Amino acid sequence: MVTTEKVGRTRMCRIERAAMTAVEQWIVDRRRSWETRLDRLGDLLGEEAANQKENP
Amino acid sequence: MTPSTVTHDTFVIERTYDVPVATVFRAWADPKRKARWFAGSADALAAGYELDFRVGGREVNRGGPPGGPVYTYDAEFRDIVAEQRIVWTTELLADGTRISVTVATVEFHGSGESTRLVLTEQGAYLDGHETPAQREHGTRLLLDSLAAALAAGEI
Repeated sequence: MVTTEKVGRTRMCRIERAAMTAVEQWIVDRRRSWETRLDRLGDLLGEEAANQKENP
Repeated sequence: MTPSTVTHDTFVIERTYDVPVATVFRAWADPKRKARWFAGSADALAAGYELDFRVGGREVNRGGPPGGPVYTYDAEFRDIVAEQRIVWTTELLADGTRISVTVATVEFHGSGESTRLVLTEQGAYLDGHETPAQREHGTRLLLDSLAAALAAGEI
């Protein structure tokens, strides 16, 4: 994350930003939270279908 | 003053469930059912989760990690066609700061005993997405890596 370069008698240090910007990370998190929810919906629908078979 | 930024994004998620479309749609329309999968538990209704499933009705959910920002999801239903589609707009706030405004569409494609669901969310993600705590965390990571590079004699 830190790069250095010698320019004459001065050493320049540069701190690189994380590869993914905060907003990109935020959008990835949003998508992931929807994926988690839709998986939970699948679990719920599976439970309801199983209960219906047991107690039609 | 920090210049304001906005980032636009669209994502699409698909799922197929082995139940008829009426059953899937009911899980979106019925507050008790939706609380379980959307807000995480049926108890969410008592804890402040609201769902008023009609055009113009709102859905509100609040939560967040312990010690982190409180996120408020505030949505309004714009279009509902039973067993076919739901369109809603949402604003998301972190500790009262608006961080995104989105339009979401869920389409239900029923075929006998199975249903394909397509969720599309289009959004404007605003500069407020970084709370002061997150910014501080990011800065601390950078300073830690600088310290590590110094200690390793790389600088």
